Amino acid sequence: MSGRRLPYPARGAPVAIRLNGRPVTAFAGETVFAVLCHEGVFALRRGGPGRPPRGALCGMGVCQECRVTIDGTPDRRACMTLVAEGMEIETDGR
Amino acid sequence: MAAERFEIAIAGGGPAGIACAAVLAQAGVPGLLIDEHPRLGGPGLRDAAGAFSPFAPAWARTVRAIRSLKKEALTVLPRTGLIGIEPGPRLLLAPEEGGLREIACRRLVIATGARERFLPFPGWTLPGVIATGAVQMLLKQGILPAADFVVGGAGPFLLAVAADIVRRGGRVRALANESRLADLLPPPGLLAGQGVKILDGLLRTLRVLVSGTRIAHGTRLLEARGAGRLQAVVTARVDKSGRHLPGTERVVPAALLAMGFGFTANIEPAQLAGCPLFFEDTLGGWLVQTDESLRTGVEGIYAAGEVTGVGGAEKSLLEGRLAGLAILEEMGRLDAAGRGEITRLQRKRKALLSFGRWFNRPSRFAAACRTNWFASLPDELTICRCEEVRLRDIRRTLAAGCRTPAGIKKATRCGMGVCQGNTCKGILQEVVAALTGGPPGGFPPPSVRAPLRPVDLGLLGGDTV
Repeated sequence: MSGRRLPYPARGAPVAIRLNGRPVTAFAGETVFAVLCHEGVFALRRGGPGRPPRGALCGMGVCQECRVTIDGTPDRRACMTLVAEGMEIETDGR
Repeated sequence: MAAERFEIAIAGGGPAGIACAAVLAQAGVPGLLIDEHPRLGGPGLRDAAGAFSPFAPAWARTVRAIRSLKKEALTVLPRTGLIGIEPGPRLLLAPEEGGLREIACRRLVIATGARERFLPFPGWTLPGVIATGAVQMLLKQGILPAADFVVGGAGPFLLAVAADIVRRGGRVRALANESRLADLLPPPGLLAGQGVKILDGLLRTLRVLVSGTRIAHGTRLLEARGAGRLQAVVTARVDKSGRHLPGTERVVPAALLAMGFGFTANIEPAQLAGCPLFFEDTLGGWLVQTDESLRTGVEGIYAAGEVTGVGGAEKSLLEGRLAGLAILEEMGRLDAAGRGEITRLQRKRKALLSFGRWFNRPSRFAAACRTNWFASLPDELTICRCEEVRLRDIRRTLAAGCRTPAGIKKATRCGMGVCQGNTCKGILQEVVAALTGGPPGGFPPPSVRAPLRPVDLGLLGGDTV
């Protein structure tokens, strides 16, 4: 884990999700991208010659670099998706 | 597929779109507001509860206005991508949960905002190199994504983000700004009209300085280093001709690099609708041409916010309201007070455009400077992240006699990947301009086609249509 949660007035209720099979507590209203950053997961997919890891860039839905598999659906943008109870997130950059 | 009908459709639920929707809905005009994200606000003003912006009060007023609306006056479609615009105007929408929707409207307001502008440097594809705006959005959601940061790129926004990081308890090991200090100082004319924002900037500078952060101007992001993810950033001083000064390199350890080179407008939907564009580098590059009432060159289509000139949330809030009032006037539903407000908003808009020009200018560089800079970049540098096109491929294609971004795109696939060129097409234009000695606006923006966002091919050809 490399990030931390700060005091935040509008934080939602706790939400139980799974990240690469590991149980993780997130909070309603957070994007999948925010949770990945909090958990220190920056490498999200592999691309290019030698398949080096790639991570999110723009955070606003443009660059498509934060595509992860959510509940079995591939290529969902982590920055444009809010966490939900029971959500399963798989990254490909490990 | 039968089209759903709305009097007005607004593309983009950021400050401009919301302000416009509020005006129209208060007048009882049934409108549709669409946005890609689950929550309205746009990257700048979403999560207002965690915002540190001096515009948060204006934003909060707008949000209250929306919440107080009668539901029948406004339909909001979040998590919905705009993938096509046809004459009419008719919109093709792709909701995140699947399927397609077609909308027919009498008037369309394009308020699709801006995105961050990136310039490439060795290592910019490493995980842990993320946009300054992305870091700011994380902080606003109450998440500090790492302990140690470098902030780098160009323009005044870097300082704002560094201040936000420090304020929320992060360490900024270095702030490397390619812009020179003299270019970042606001002209006296702005101090009067934009005093709040300038004061906000000064307080942020003070906060960053007090934290012990090294603020370096005229300093380049030379390289991002790390095995599998970012571990250190190499910075170096540059001279006025854009050459880096050997011997000034510094290696700064950091877990995250917050990187950005200013902003550029999301003109693609307007382009697809056939709206005439213009180029002004100091307002963000290619932009949508409008008259003073924000009418574009296409009948029934308006543009508001960053797409008419990158100028920030205050300008977008104003233009959204202005577009809404202009539409009401066209519909014959505006009283004298409303017409008076149009005149006032049009006057104030000019001051906000001046602020935009100051804000964007430090991240735009003189032609000679860019030529020296880009000529120094290594052959193996990735330009197109989706299609893995290297600078080598572009240099070879240029050497073979192909001298335009459009030709290079076809020859190398630069900009033809899943992000549809939205990350690298501006880079390609600048690289080609720098390496051929032309001006950055000397080439037309690459043509766009529907779908504007990647969609399941089965949707477009399948039974749902």
